[in-house]
Amino acid sequence: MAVEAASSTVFALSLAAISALTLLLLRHYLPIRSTPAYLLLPIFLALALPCSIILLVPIDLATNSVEDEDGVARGISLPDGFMTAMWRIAYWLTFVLTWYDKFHEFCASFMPNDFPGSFCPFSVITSILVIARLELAFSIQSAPTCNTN
Amino acid sequence: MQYQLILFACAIAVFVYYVLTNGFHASSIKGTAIALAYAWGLILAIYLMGHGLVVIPRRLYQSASLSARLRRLQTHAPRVHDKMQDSIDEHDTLEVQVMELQRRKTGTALDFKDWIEELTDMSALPESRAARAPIARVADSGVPHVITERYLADLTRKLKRAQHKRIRFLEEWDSLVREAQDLQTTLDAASSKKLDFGRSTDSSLASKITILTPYTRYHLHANILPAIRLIWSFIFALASACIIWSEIFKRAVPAISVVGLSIVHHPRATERGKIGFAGQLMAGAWLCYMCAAALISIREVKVWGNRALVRRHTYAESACWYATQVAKLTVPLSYNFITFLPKDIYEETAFHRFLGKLINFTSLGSAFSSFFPIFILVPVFASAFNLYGRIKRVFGFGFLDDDSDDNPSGFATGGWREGRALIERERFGASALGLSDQRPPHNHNTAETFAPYADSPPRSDQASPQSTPRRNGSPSRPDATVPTSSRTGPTPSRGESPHAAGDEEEGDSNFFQEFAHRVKNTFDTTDKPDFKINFTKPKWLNIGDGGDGPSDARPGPLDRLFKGKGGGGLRL
Repeated sequence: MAVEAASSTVFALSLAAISALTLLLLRHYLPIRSTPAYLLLPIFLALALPCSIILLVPIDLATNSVEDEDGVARGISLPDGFMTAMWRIAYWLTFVLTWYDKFHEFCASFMPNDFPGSFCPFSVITSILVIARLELAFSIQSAPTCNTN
Repeated sequence: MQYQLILFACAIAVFVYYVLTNGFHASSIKGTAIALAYAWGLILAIYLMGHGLVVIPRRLYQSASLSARLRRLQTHAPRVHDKMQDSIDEHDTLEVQVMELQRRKTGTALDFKDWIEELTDMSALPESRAARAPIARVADSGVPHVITERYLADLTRKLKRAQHKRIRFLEEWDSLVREAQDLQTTLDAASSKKLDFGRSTDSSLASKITILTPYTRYHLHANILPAIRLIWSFIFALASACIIWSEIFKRAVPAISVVGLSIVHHPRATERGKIGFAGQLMAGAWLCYMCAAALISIREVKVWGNRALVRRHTYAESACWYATQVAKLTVPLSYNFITFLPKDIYEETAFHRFLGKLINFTSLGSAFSSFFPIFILVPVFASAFNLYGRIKRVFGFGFLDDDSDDNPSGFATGGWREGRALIERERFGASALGLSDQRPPHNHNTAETFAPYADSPPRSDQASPQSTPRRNGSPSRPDATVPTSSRTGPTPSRGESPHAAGDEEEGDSNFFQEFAHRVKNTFDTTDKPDFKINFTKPKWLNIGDGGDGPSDARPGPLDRLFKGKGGGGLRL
């Protein structure tokens, strides 16, 4: 129990550190105030999510490397259902963001000028949030059964 | 737009074909999409990672020697300087067009008055620069008689890109010059063993606290940091070898996968996990290194050369593109990484249950995932033996900007000597303008002048107007790519004219001293020309030879041509 609490705390702190470092990186390369939000948010997610994947892989390995069903994992481990949910969210958001720059170019080619508040990137942001919400809901719903796609 | 539409239409066509042949099953479509995305990502990731695994240790090894680093910088300097010049010229050309648009008061220009005013604000052309722009360039500025929306849209996009490109290459040039200066200062401090970079004009608190004395600073930069780089280069070389070994043998003989052995510390444990905290840290480190190797290669591939990361002024499209590449490469690399471990461990992970089952659903997918990574040997050998450079020499173009030993002698690119001359000129040009900290001046108007160092507010004592002759004298700036035999002659003299405006404030004696030193330096670094002119006198010149003075025992041919004595006249 204490180990689970400690693992969750470490995981949460690591995510916060990843977010902070990503923001610093963005600040280093981009003029934050003049970059529109519909670009900042996808860029932030496209950097933060891969970092969280690099964090998830070792936790996943430690969590599921126990041979016995009643065994206790070493190191930082998280519940299996939570791991599955995190993987689903991280993977699908990353999948959508992989195509974001193509989508951005596609929208830009239809617009004569740069477009503050255009519906195209706004719809992408909306779809990202909808996907995240759906994945979270689906994962919570399937948590008792676990281990399925 | 047509390209995007064609691409979209092809995607729709493939999707329709797939649905017609296989039926509309959401899970199979999802599985196919995931498998295809993984395959494409893995091809890219393995190729880029293979290149990066060689580049990282090699770069660290080469940068361990200060003089080699300086030489590399000097070799690259002409190319960077040319690019900077081109970007400035391109930006100026577009600004001339904007100026011309602003001047037009009749016809279609009136319809787009607001847009033209926005363009003018974006380019932020001050009156002084507008007055200095050559009139001849306005005449052929390329502005059409009838202005259309499409033309203005193109101009807006081009102007934005040109601004970012200009800032990018200005920053690249300035950071190259600064690094070269620091290296030169460090090398010059070898005798005195006291190092001071001279950047002490900051008034912030951090600069007032001196952590290092000049003596310790010298040893840090001259000895300790190079040694650290050398040690890390060996460590990374070993890590690269382990990753390549694991990629090749993970399927055939999993037990000898070095990466797997370094992570699984308790292989025989049953009641507790086989991987502990130390194993997790190792796994994180391996994965970070693999991702870093892949991402470092992205910055070197020339195909994507238009996109660059610039401090504080990265173009939004470039930033978006780089971020998506990070996202694209991480998932395939992560899955590829967990396959280094024994099968009974990685098949139990949530990652494998989520992704791996879909990838390995078909035997083709499973075989691809297992055997394709052996292909990593191709980029590794290509990078290790500089095959990209050879391809470039054979075919005349290259697609990877592997600058490790591409053209080490600097043949036909101006060479390191020209680079050194350019850097020296930049140094003494900055000091002649009174910029004591040898950094470019800083201005809020980022569209107008180069201002990447935005950590502190601009200081009133910095002479920003003095920068404008330096940066904006592009029509009169000398072209760096001049032929070898004549490059040093006209270059210093032409290079003086943009700086003349700032001389009066400095004091004549100091300027002339700097100028003389610079000219002397330039001539000292000149190569003697390779061609040999045979100055033997032809027989017809021997007529009237005795008329010359006693001091001219053997007058040269030029003397005879221009003295006009006896038979020494110029014959046409």
